[in-house]
Amino acid sequence: MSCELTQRFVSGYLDGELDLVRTIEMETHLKNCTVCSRELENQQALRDALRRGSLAYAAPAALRERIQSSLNASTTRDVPKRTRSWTTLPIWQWAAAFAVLAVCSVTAWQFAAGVHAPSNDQRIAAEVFASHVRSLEANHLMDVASTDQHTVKPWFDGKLDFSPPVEDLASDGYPLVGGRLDYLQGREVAALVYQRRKHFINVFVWPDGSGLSLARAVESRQGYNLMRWSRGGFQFWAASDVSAADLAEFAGSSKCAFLLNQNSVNKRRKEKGRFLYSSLRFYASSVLRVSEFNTEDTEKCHREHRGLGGEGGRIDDGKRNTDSSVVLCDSLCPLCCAFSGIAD
Amino acid sequence: MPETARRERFEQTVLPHLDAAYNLARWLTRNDQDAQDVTQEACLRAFRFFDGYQGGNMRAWLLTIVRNTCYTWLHQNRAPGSAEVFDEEIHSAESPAGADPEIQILASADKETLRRALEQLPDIFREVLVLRELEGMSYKEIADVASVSLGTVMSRLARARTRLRQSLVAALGKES
Repeated sequence: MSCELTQRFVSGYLDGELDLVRTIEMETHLKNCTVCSRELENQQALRDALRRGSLAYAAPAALRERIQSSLNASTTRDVPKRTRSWTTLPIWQWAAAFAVLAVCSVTAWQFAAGVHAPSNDQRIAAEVFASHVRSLEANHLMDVASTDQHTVKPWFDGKLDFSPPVEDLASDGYPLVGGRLDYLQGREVAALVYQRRKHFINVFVWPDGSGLSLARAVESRQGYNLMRWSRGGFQFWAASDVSAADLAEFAGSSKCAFLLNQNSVNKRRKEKGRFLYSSLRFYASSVLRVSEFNTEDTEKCHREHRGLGGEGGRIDDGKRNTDSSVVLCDSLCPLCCAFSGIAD
Repeated sequence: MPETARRERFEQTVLPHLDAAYNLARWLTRNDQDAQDVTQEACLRAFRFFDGYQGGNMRAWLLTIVRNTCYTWLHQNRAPGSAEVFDEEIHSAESPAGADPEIQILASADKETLRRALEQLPDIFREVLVLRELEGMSYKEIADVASVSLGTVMSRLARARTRLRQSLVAALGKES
C-alpha cells in the first residue's frame, strides 16, 4: 500500500472501520513507514484530545421538563374529543360496550385464576436477580471467556443436558463475552454473558416447553432490569444494570426473541364476529412466522376460534418490518393474547 | 388511554437519548437557547412519527430527526451572508506535514481551544466529528443519521480531522 493510500485510510483505520484485508495492508505499511506511523500518532493525539476534553453537552433539566409538559399537553388534548362522543352513543353501542366489558372481566378472572401463573414468574425473577448479582460480586462471571459463539456453544457440551442457542450480537452493540454454568429452578442452566459498553448482561437459558412468548420487561429491582421471553423450546431471562430501553433493544436484537410494538396494534375493528388487527409492526430484526408457534396451539386456535392465519390472516409472510393484517380470535386464547400483547 | 400508553412508551424509549439529541443540536446551532428549541421541536416531531418507528437503533432514529430539524432551522435562521458554502476543491488541503511538535501541540490542547476549533468547522464536518468522537457512533450509524454513504462518512471524517488539526496547530502554535 502506498503512503498516499495509507494517509487516506488512516482515519478509518483508527476507528476500526476498515475491512480485514485493508487493515492488514495498513499494518504492514505502518510498521515500515515512519512518516505514516507519525500521521497515525497525530490522529491518535487528536482523538485523545477530543475525548479528554469532555466536549459533549448534557440536556438541561429545564428542557427535559419542557418536553415532558408539551407531550402531556399534546396527549391530553385528544382525550376530551373521545369522551364527548361517548355521551352521544346510541343504545346498541352501549350494549356492545357492556358485552365487551363482561368478556374482559371474565377473562381477567381466568388470568387471575392462574392461567398465566404470575407467581411462578416472580419466583424465577427473584432467582435470576440473585444469580446476576452473585455472578458480579463473586468475580465469577464467566467459566469460558470468548467472543466467539463457536467456542462458547460447544463449551456447554457434556456439561448440560441441552445445547443452548448462542449468538454473538456484536454488530448490534452487544458483543458476546463468554458463558458459564448456573443453577436456577432446581436445574443447571446456561448463562451467556454479553457486554454493553461497561455493563454486563446475563442471559439465562434453559429448555422449556411452554411455547412462544413475547419478550417483556418483568421488573426492576435495585437498579437492575429483568426481561424474559421464550422461543424455540427455550426460556430466556436477561438481567442487567443497563437501562430498560437498552435491555429491550438487546432482546430485540436477539434472533431468539421477538418484541411486538404494542402501540402499533392500533387499528382494531370487529368484523364478522372477530377482531381484526391491522398494521402490526415487528420490532427490530424479528421475523415472526405462524410456523414458529407451537403447531398444535395454532391449529386449535384456528379450529376453535377461527383465529390466527384464518381468512385474511397474512401473518406467515415472514417478512421483516412489514405491515401485515392478521386475524386474532376474540376468545382471547393464550396464543392470540401473546401475539397481540394483551396478555403481556 | 392508548394515547397515554403511547406517551409513556415514548418517554421510556426516546427520552433516554435526550442528551445525545441536545448535544447534536447544540453543536449544530452553536447556541444553547436555539439548541433547546430545536431539540424540543425534534422530540415533538419524533412523537408524531413514533408509530412509523420500525424498531432498530433508537438513538440513530432520533438523531436523524434532530439533524433534519437543525438544518431546517439553520436554513431559516442563519443570515444569508454567513451560510457556509464549502468548496471541497479549494479546501481539500493536504494533511498537515507531520511536524514533530504537532503531537505535543495536540496533547496540550485545552477544552476551550478545542471547542472553538470544532465550532469553526463547516457543519458537515462538525456533525461527523460530534457523532463519532462525542457520541461514539459507528460509521454505519453516522451514515444513517446523515443520509450519506459509508464511503462519504469515512472521507468526511478524515477531512474533518485534518482541518481540525490544522486549526488547532495554527491556534496553539502561535501561543507557544
